[in-house]
Amino acid sequence: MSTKGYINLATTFGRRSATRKIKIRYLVVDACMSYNALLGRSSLNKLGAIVSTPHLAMKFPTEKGEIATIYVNKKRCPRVLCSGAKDDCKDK
Amino acid sequence: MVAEIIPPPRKARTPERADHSKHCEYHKNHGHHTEECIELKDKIEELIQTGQLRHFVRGGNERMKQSPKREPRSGELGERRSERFKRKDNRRVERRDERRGGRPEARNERGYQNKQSVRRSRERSLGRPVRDFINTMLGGFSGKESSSARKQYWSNVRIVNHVFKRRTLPPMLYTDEYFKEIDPDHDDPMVITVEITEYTVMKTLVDQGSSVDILFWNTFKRLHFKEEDMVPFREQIIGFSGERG
Repeated sequence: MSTKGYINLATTFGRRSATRKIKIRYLVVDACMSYNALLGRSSLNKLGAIVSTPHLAMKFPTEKGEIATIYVNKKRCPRVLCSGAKDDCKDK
Repeated sequence: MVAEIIPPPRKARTPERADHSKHCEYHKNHGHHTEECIELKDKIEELIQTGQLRHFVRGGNERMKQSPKREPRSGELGERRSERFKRKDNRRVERRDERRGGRPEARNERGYQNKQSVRRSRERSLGRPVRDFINTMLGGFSGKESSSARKQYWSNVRIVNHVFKRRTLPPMLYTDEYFKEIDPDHDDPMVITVEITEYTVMKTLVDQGSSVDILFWNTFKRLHFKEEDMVPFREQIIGFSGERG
């Protein structure tokens, strides 16, 4: 799998007032995946996120120093809902 | 014989100001007696803990059967040690007898010892003998794009005196209230929604196994970026999880 390039983008985690914005260096990859983006260790560490897969939740300290929790999307099934990068692949 | 079960030490020369009246049989140098040799004691202790010297340890057989991983109490340890060293002189003879007898157990031990030297340090950390190690190579982009930057990072890690800024994080706790799933045996992936620039991006996979953060090309286009906006970087990433391109 070859990469196209990389780009630094401000990414915001959390909702309403409980947010944290960090700059993430994304590798741009031309691949058919059902996901839009993939967050790896480096950005999770930068965010200070503690991920719990049994709870399907992620906690991180917000800019105000509080702890925010984000849950996995309710409509999460990657095959059915909300178009991901893969849906566009058919056009090529 | 002893050398077979205890791997030889790293070559240690006699220190310049060492006491030449003391000789270490294990290190083959001067400065301390064999009985005082800390490294040798550790090696023997390791063998006892792994059960390879159980016939030399008083009550060792029963103990091993009852609870193989049991940590010895401090007083006991001292007692065992001293006893071990009293028996030290006999060891050579006893081991030789074993060889003549050709006990299968002893033979296994020896065959196992051959590949031992590389594993020694790892086994110490695991506290028990293992058959083999499967090494994993890991690496990746990690935001350090040049190999020299990566080397710099790793050399910094190795230098003991290099001070990394201490990081603090508030305690983060998960209690049962955080279980929102209906199915307790789910194996769903961590897929969340984030905001990248001004766009809400759903279906963002949190992948703790990945050393890189990836934005897929189609998503990149949908965020209304152009090819010129990114820094060209053409390299292979391997071990890409799941789907094929």
